[in-house]
Amino acid sequence: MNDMSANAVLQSRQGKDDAWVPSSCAICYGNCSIVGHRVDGVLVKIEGNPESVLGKGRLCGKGVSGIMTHYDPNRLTVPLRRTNPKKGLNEDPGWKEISWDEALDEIAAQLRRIHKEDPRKLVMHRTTTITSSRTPFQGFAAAFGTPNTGAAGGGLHCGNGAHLLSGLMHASWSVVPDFKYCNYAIFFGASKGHAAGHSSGSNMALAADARARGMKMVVVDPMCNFAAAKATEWVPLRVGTDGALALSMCQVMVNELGVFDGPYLQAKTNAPYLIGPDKLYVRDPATKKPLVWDTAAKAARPYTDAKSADMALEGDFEVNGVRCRPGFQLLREHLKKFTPEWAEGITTVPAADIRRLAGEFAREARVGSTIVVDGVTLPHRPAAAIAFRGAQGHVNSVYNFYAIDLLNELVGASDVVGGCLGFNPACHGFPETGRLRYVPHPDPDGLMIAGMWMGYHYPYPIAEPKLPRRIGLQDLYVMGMMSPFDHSDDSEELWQKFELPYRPEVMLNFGCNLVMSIANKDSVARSLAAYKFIASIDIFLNETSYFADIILPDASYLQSTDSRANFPFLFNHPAGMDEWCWPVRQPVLPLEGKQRRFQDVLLDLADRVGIRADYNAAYNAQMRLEPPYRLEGDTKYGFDEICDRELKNNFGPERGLDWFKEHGVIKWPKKPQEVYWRALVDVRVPIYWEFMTPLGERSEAIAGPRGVKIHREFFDPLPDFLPCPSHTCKKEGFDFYAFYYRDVIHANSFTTENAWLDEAGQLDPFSYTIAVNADSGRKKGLRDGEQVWVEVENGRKVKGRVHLTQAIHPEALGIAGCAGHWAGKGMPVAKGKGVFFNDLLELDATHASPVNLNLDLCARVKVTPV
Amino acid sequence: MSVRWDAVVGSSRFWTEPPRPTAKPSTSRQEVASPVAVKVWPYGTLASVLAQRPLELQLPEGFSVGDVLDELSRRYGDEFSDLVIGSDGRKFRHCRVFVDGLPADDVETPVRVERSPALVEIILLTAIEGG
Repeated sequence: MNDMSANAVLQSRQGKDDAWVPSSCAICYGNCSIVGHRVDGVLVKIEGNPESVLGKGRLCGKGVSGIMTHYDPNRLTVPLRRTNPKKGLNEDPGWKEISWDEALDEIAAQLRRIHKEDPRKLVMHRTTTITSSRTPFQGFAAAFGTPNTGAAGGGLHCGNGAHLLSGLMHASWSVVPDFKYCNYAIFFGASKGHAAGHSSGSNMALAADARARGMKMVVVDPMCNFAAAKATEWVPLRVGTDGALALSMCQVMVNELGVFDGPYLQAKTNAPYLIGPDKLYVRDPATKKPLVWDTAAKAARPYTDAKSADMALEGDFEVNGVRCRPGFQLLREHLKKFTPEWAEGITTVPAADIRRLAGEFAREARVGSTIVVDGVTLPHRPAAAIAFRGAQGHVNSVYNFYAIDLLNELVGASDVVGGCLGFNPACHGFPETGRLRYVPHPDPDGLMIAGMWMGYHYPYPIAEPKLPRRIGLQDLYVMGMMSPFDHSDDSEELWQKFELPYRPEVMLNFGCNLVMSIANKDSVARSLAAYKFIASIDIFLNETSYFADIILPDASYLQSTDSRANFPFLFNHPAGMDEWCWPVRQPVLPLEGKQRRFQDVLLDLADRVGIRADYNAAYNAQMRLEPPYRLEGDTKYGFDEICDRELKNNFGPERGLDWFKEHGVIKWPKKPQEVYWRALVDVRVPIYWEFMTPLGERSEAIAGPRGVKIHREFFDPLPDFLPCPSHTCKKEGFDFYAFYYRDVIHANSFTTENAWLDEAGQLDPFSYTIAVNADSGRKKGLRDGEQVWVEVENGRKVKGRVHLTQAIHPEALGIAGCAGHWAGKGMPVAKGKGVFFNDLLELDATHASPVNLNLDLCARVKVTPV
Repeated sequence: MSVRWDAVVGSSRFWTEPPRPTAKPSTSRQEVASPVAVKVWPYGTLASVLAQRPLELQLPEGFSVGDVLDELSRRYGDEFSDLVIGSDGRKFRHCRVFVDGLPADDVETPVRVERSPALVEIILLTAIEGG
């Protein structure tokens, strides 16, 4: 046990308030551990908490600037009710201050009404910035009885593909190279390790140390920004073509070089499973288990009955009169069409470079090698291919990520030393209590089911598609998490076709600026205006507030408590060998005005609606509270008490909230068997997605008769390159592929209001400008610094200052983050800063993945001087 | 040195699960002599489906969580079972069941009647998440 010392971080001088208070950041969803220095009631500094694994004392520019968000004079301090019943992007709501009782009574009346009529009429959105808000909000939704929850652009932009694939193949929310041991990492549109995203603070240090150690880092990205600028090699490619490059690298490895990890494929994947002409597993008639060809027995046997070493990966067999081949052979044949020459035409990456990169990756993987870590002998594959938002933010989201992860699977570099790691897919538990133990396990087909997940809809097994009863239609599009159909212009048409028996009427929104964070603002605005009632809990008035009926002033993260600021471990906790660490969030400062913490507001609402017992039950289920820490019946608990119970439940009766407030974190050592669990846990991952064929058929059987097309080319068991809508645009003058990227100094849509970050943004040549390749721009007569219009095919356009640079692909146009606020009353610092990229995106079925509903986040654009 | 993955799996007991108790009825279904009471508390969506809270069931001694779900499915039909049980016959992961306050992830979990009646709580957690 290695608890941190109270005296190290919490000091108090006699009679004077001078304290360093350990807590957790929430300026981005990285939620790194911090200490806030408070002097005489004033927060004077925020630093990283050196006692925590989450950042180890390091904090990014956003984190140290949190002080300015907290003290922003535009923070909401009182509940507000609109007086103007008309809602629109330019309609002043006419805010009037009201009391908390008035506000909550009014919200509760709306909730009671729809709870009686149909609880599904409630839609709940919450920001991803405060990761731990998922527990109170999902719990409230479960207690109320609505399945309609969302995170505005969160998930819809970044997660439907990345998290699905990371879950399916690594039992985790995201993936990173095993920085400590990796020698060759290839990043496909991924910011991991470069001051953004999950475990951002920790990964920054790990990535930097890895580069200093000599890890070669190849960054595949249309733009040479935060990751590529630090890379050994930048590989610029056409926007949205990452999957084509990865498929071609697989082709080179398997069919040109003949490099793959046979023993891994035999034992840890479904590569040996026999596939029939119907694209399905050939199954044992008695046990229904998938069959493999046992080379020792010279017969087909259930996969559980043959030794992995005897399972054929290639060959042509006949079993019970059915011609069949192992999945690996089908993959190998499938890959042949993805030659480097073909990929060069798609990606613009020269064929010779593709061959070189594939060769380097295959060689550096050191297939067959082992290493001893803390006395345990483990497979050693010091090469990793990772991806995130950039590569997966397209209609071909699933195949793009699937193809990239195949690079790891083919050489066995999956959750082993030096390879591609999920973020902590397995934990042996807190040693003293045995709590928090989870590990992936197999389904009847031997395929991996994650041991823990962020939500309760696991990525595998794939759910059975049904006639949709959620407004986002995820019960039909079962591989999607977030949905564009919550707000798209075609949603009503789809709801009618699927005979959705209700319509959304009431929204509870926590911190989402939906108008800005999804896509085309007019589409989102129309959907919000259709709600009968919207209540928003927020710290600022923003563009979405224009559609709210009631605004509730929230506490900032510096005024909040949370027992699970960084749980589950598979979301934000750094991967790789080190320590387990559980930090909490606690108030560094008191509430101001009439601000209240959202968790307590939801508990209050539950009482007013009459669902407290249900909400208590939801907390019990989510936190897995056991006696004596369970919440009983409809007893009224405050959120601090719930946090206290969760901490004692996990860490013992002596370690409640007060203990954690004093110590900040608890830590215990990781074991190599936890970090490199894959070798030790008998699960397989699918390199052949057999479940796609029946999924496509079943989805089509529901959608087809109702006039909704299911594009079956997205449901093949093996990955393909399927172009984005932007790739098919032939309109004259539309020469650029526009995309957005995460800015290192901004998070989501609200940090342009932060005075320090705004100042940094103004000084940075890219944060508030439109990046265009210098040669391409000059050919079009563009001058550096001039104002331009960026226009999409249907005429919608955004304005900004062009920045000509060599650090971007000749066909690409890059815009940072989610900026360009126009509602100045609530966020005057942010107003007019940067460019509102999302307004260039279409929000409809045509621009969403038919498999996982991910929006296509690139657009073909024309650039003209203003 | 080359290492076989299956050999590595075979040599480690680190992740070996502790033996899990299974439901062993003390009397067979055919000779049910003493049905015992169980109180079912449905929450959230299931509260409106089952209409009654708590709901008292009588089940043969030695019953499991699966038996409780089967009985509720028999009484309330597809409206209940479609929410709780998948087409493969397995309980959904987002359907959480607690027996006398302890989580019962597996439908095989026996409902031990140490106090009468046993308490079974059921809730559906919201199924989707982003990040």
